[in-house]
Amino acid sequence: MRIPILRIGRILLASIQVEMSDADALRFQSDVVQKISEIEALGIAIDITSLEVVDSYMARVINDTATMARLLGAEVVVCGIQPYVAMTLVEMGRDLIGANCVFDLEQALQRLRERIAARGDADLDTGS
Amino acid sequence: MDDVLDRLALLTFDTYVETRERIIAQQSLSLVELSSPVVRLWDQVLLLPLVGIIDTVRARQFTERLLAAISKYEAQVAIIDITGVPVFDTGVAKHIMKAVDAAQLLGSRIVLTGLSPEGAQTLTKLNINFSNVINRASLRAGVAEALKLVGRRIVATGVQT
Amino acid sequence: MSTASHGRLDTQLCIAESMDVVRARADARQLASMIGFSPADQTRLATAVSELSRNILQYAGKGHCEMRDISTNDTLGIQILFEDNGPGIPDISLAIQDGYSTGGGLGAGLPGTKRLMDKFSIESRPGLTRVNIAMVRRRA
Repeated sequence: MRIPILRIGRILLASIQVEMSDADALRFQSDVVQKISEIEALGIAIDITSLEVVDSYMARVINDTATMARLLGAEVVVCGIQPYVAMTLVEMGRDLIGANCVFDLEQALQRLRERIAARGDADLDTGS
Repeated sequence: MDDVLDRLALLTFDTYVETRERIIAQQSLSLVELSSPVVRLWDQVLLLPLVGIIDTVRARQFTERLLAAISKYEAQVAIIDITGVPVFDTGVAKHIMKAVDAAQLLGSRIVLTGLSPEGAQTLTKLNINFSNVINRASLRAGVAEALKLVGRRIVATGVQT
Repeated sequence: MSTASHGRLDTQLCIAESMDVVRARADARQLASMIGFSPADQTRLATAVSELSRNILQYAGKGHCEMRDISTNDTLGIQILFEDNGPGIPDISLAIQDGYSTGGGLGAGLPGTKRLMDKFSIESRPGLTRVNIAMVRRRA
């Protein structure tokens, strides 16, 4: 299943709701970088509210996606980490989610807007 | 007589070849310099477009040129644009990281522009992320960011000539 | 921990494709819930199961897991065995050390999984890999 990527102005929103196979993950990441490039996105929120389990594989997919987005100049925020998921991640002890994490989508958009406002390229006209 | 003429021909030929080789070498050097010029974009902002295949030699020259320019112009920001670099792999990335690290030792910030979507994926899979660098996809965004770092902004004057 | 399993065999599951990882997680969670484990513990277990079944998929191609209720009068307990006939993990003592990972892959999740579980044992040689995990809680 292809994960839809929504657009709000120059901010993207991707909600990971399903189990991702290797192929799905690669396609998701490819879609994300293409979209960011296409609209010169300034930020992306990766929402994982639906994930009840995040193991090291999923954590890596999320981290890699965040890194790719950052390399293309987008601010990245991860939102919706479930309490028990947060607990498990911490207990597993790895620096599992490197990106900026916030509670929910509303906070994600706010955080992104703040970070974008602080940038020098926030008000460039992209004509898209 | 033939012998003399032969030797004269040989000498002419040798000289010709030597000269030609020298010109080629000089032009190669110029080409190298041309393909990584240092542009002084604004008072303390440098722009270095990288074009072509980056090998160790070119990388070293690039770094030297970058540092010399930062020093000369007391640049606070250097924009490195890699739109023209066709292959971006671990080797190239490491070269650029070295240049970045050195520049930062001189107190300069680096803005990296021109990475393609595919490049972003490749680098990430190779576990390379330029974490101490400001990344922007387009040169335009990079310029805006660099200017902001030195307290400048491009604004419309409302007048078109 | 002995590799002999005690307790009733509750679930046996073949792991051969992506959906099986999901199924294994769901089964583990359901069994843990039936036994009486808290939601937090269910998540810990589901995460460990996810990690280990993915390992099987990735490095052996296929394998299976067996889940057992090992509760006693005083404790809640669940034990899960993961087994495959793949090439094995070359250096186990290294693989369960923190920070060890070959390209973010082989065994990368093992140290983390070990930390989540109360019991964790692994034996591996070319042709056979067995990972045994167990979670035990004192009854309230």
